[in-house]
Amino acid sequence: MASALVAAALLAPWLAPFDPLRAVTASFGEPLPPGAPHWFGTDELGRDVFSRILLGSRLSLLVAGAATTLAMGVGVTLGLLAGYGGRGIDGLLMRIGDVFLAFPSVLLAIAVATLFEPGLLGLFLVIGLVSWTPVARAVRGEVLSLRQRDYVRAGEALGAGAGRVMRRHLLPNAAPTILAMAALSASTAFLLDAGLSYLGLGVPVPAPSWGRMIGDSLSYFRVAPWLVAFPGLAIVYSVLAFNLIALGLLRRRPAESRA
Amino acid sequence: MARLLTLLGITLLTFLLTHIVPADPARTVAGPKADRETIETIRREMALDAPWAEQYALYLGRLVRGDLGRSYLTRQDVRGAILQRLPATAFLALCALAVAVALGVAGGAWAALRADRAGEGAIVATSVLLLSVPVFWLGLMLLYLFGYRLRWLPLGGFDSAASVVLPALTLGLGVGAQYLRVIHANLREALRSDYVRTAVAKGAPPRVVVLRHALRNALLPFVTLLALDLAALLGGVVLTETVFNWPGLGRLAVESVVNQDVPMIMGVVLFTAALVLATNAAADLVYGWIDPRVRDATG
Repeated sequence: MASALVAAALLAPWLAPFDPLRAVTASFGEPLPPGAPHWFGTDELGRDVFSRILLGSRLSLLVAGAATTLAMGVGVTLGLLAGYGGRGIDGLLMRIGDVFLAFPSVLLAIAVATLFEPGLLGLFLVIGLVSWTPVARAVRGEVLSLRQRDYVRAGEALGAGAGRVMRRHLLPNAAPTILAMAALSASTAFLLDAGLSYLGLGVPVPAPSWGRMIGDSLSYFRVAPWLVAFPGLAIVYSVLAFNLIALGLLRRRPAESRA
Repeated sequence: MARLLTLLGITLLTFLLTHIVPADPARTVAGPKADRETIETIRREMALDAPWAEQYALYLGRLVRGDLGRSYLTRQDVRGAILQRLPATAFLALCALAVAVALGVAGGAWAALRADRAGEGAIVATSVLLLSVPVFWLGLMLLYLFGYRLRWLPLGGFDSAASVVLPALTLGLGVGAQYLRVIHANLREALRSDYVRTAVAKGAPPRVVVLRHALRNALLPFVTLLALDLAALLGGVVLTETVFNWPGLGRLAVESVVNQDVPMIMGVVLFTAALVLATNAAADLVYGWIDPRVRDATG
């Protein structure tokens, strides 16, 4: 758990760009290997890799954040509805979820990316679209089990108006799961974003996106492997951080509270 | 069965995708380079002036006949292209699964049997790490190390038996890490259960007990996971095939995206989704057969 928090905290300072102007430096045309002052080396256009990675973190976090929010919004709502709404709604929503789950995420993402013009908005939509189902499922599961709790039953017996008050009970207690799913969705969003960018379907050119950095450096791979290695490590680091958070949260679940 | 409904849903989704697009569907399908006449032909074929329900019915009709459309770019029919590339992908997927299973079972069992917490922790940590790695990056790194630096393995393509090693490893490691966690958890649980304890009390050495009893029970959810993970596996396939230049469905998908070849990409998407559904259904059957308790519950 502690490691999760540490990792998360370490990610935060990355948010402040080191020095955006440094993104374009001295040597042009030949990638430099890592060494002072360019600790991660430079890329084929003379830009400092380290700065680009830092800058890229903002973009990646933005995309992951937006997509996760979308996925969570849809997922939690539908999950709540499914878990609480009774057989009919549950069945219907789960069917729809099945449909989405049947598509391999990357493929679906690619397909949708083809149909819409490339851009930030499309990227959020695509990733969010693909990621909502596991969230909904998890929330639904939680809700289903929470429904049986005494305080929920008590509330219902007291005539708690239309699920609205139930959401006061259900949501807070489902919170750990919801948060864990958020972390997990964030990590999948990161990976999806990286993959899409690598394929060239992410954000358009000058913006430094980690996946894109890898994709663009392919022709220099043999001579300048660091161009691929470092952005990749950045991705691993971020994804790992979110995964650890999710794991930590999930492990905490047994503690339940509140009436 | 309910599966059919899902199948229907899949076709609906694919259909909607092409039509919800702000652009003119005929133009989308025809591709950016089509001329006016082609577009008109497509428009008639797709009956774009007709109400959506009718268009969907037409679409379904074609699907039932196995017609997945034609790539307006290469003039090749989609179904043929897919079937042509399928074996390569299937082979890769199977190899990757083999790697994953080996890793999952071996790793999970080893971790569960560890007396010391440190060893177990290390394995768990490694698996979480593996899960956090983007597939294409792993592939590239492995390629660099084994293909370029050490020159042990070929650099890509599907020329020899050896060329499947790296891609399979790339795909398999990630999936394997997931299996590892599941098996590890299950085995640990099983080890604590009564029947295992009884067996140990009766004098059977723990290792034997684990390998026989626990593993069998741990394998059950594992089978379902195997089938259900096909969707994720196929996703990874796309990226892996791109990295290694593997001539399979994944690369077909990426190529069609680059070329904005809508019928092709839609065909691939639909096909894979249907495939996933089919395997899920098969998994359900197998699962129910293995464990009669489940059969009575689901039905």
